Amino acid sequence: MLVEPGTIVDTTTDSRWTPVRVTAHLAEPIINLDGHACHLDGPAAFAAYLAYTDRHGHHSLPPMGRDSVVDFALPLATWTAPAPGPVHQLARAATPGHVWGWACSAAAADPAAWTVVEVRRKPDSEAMHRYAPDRKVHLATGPLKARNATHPATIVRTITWWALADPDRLHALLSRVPGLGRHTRHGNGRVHRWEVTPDPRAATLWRRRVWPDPDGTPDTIRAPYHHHTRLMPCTPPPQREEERC
Amino acid sequence: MTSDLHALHALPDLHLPLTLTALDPISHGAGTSGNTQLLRVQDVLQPDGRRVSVPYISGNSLRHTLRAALAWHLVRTLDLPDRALPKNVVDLLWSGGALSETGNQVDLETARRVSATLPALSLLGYSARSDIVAGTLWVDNVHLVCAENVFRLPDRLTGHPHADLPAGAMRGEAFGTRHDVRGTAVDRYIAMLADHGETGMLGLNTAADAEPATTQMIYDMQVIKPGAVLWTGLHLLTPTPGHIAALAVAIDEAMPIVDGRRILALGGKRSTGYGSCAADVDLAPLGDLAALRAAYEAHLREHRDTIITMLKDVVG
Repeated sequence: MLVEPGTIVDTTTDSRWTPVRVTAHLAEPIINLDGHACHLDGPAAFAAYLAYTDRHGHHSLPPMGRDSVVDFALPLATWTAPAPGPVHQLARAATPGHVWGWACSAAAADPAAWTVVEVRRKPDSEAMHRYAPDRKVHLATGPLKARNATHPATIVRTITWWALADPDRLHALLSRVPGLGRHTRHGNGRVHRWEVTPDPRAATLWRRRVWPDPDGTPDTIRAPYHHHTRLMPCTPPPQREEERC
Repeated sequence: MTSDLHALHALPDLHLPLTLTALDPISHGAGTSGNTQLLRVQDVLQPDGRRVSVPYISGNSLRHTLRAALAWHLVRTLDLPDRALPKNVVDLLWSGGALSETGNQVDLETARRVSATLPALSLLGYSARSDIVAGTLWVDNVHLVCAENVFRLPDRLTGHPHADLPAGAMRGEAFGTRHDVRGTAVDRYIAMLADHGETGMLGLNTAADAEPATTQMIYDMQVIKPGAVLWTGLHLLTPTPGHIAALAVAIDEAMPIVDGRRILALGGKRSTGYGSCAADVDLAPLGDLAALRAAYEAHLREHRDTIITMLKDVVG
C-alpha cells in the first residue's frame, strides 16, 4: 500500500488505466478551495491513509518529518518528467533525473459565490476555575483567547477532476472522504456524493495540473502537497472553459 | 473487555444519523443588529442557481458539546479534586489544547499512549507541544428540514412535511428581560452614604450618595422555532475500540434520557431553557451502550494515575 521511493515509472500509456471524470457533489460551503490547486490525489491519498489505518492500526506509519514522508499507492496512473532543477530525493522517479506524480488534474469548479464560515472559540472558564489552580486567565491573549475565527469559504455545487484511473477502485477509495477543504471534522465542505465516470476527454484533460518547469514558480507536485519534499519550480494548472462540466 | 480499549487497530467506519426535534427555541448567534442577536445562517446555493440564507447549528458547536461532556465525565469518574489540573491540561480536555512549542517530529509514542489510555482525547483530536493529532470523529453541521435544504436531505426525511416549507417558517424571535429590583421591597438593602458613611453598614464600600441608575434591560434574539426538525450525522472514521466506547459515553452524557427520551441541547442560552431538542438516534451500531459505558469507566478508574501523569506529559 506504500510506494517504494525511487521506483515509479511513467504508466500514462498503460492500457489498464481508464480516462475518467470525477465529480464531487458538495452539500456545504468549502473552506480554502481557492487557496491551492486541489489536485485529486490529495483527497485520494487521505482515503488511502484511512485504508492503511484500517489494515495496520493507528499510529503505525513512520512519523512525518522534514526528510520523511510516505506515498500511498493510489489507483491512478503515474507520470514522470525531467526534474526542473535540484529536487529532494523523495521526489525522484525510477528514471534518473526525473520526478513523478499521479495522473490527475487540479480541481475545476465554477464557484457560485463566496461566503464565510465562523468558528467560535470560547474559553471554558467554568472548567478552568474549578480544575486549574491559576488565579487569573486572560481571555484576550494566548492561543486559546476568546474569538470568532472567520474563514473565507466557496459556495460550489460540484467540483470536477480528470484522471487516468481504475474507476471502481478510485470510487471505492473516494467514497471514504466525507469532506474537502479545511475544518471538515465539524461539517464544512461535506461531499454529498462522489461520481467516477469513464470519459475519453480525460485522456488529455488530466494534464491540467501543475507541471515541473525550470522557469516556473515554487509549487508541489503530489500529495501530501504541504510537504517540502515535493517542492520545485512549476507552472500552475491552466483554467479553460472546456474542462468544466 | 477493558483490555480491548487499549487496542490501536481500526474497526470499520461508523455512521450515526441523528434527527432532532426542537422542543424549545434554539439560539445560535452570529453577531447582533441593534439590540437583536442574529441567527447564524449558511449561504446555500439552490439547484436553480438562487442563493438563499438558511439557519443552521454548526457542527463545531455540537462537537464541543461532546468534547465537554467527555471532559466532565472524566473528572467525575476519576474523582479529581478541585484545582487538581494545570491550566493547559484543562484547555486540552475542554478545548483540545494548543500548540506551545516548535518542532518537526510527531511524538508517535505519546500519541499511542493517549489513544491507549484516554481514547476520548484522540477521538476528538488535540494540539499539544508541537503535535497536532487529528480526531477520528467527524460531526456534520446541523441543518433544518426545509425546502431550501431538499437537495441535501437524507432519504429518511425527504417525505417530511417540513420539506415543503421555507426556512423562514421555522425562524422566530424571542426576548429576555433583566429586572432591576429598585422600587420593590429590596430597596431597603441599598446602602446610602447618608445612612452609613462611605463603607456602608458591612464595610463593603458600596454606599452611594445618590439614587443608583437603573440596570433594567431587555434583549432580543432570533431563534429557530420549537417544532422545527433538524438532522445531522456523527461519523467515526477508522475508530479504535476505545473511540467507540468513548463516543458511546459522550452521547450518553450529552444526550441524557429525560422523561423517556434522549435530550440534546443545541446552541446558546441553554441554562435559561433554550436549545432543548428531542434526539432520535439509533445507537445500535455502537454496540451495547451500558456495557460500553461500564467498560470505559472501569478502564478510566483502573488507569487513573497513568492518565493523570500522561495528561501532564502530553502538554509538557
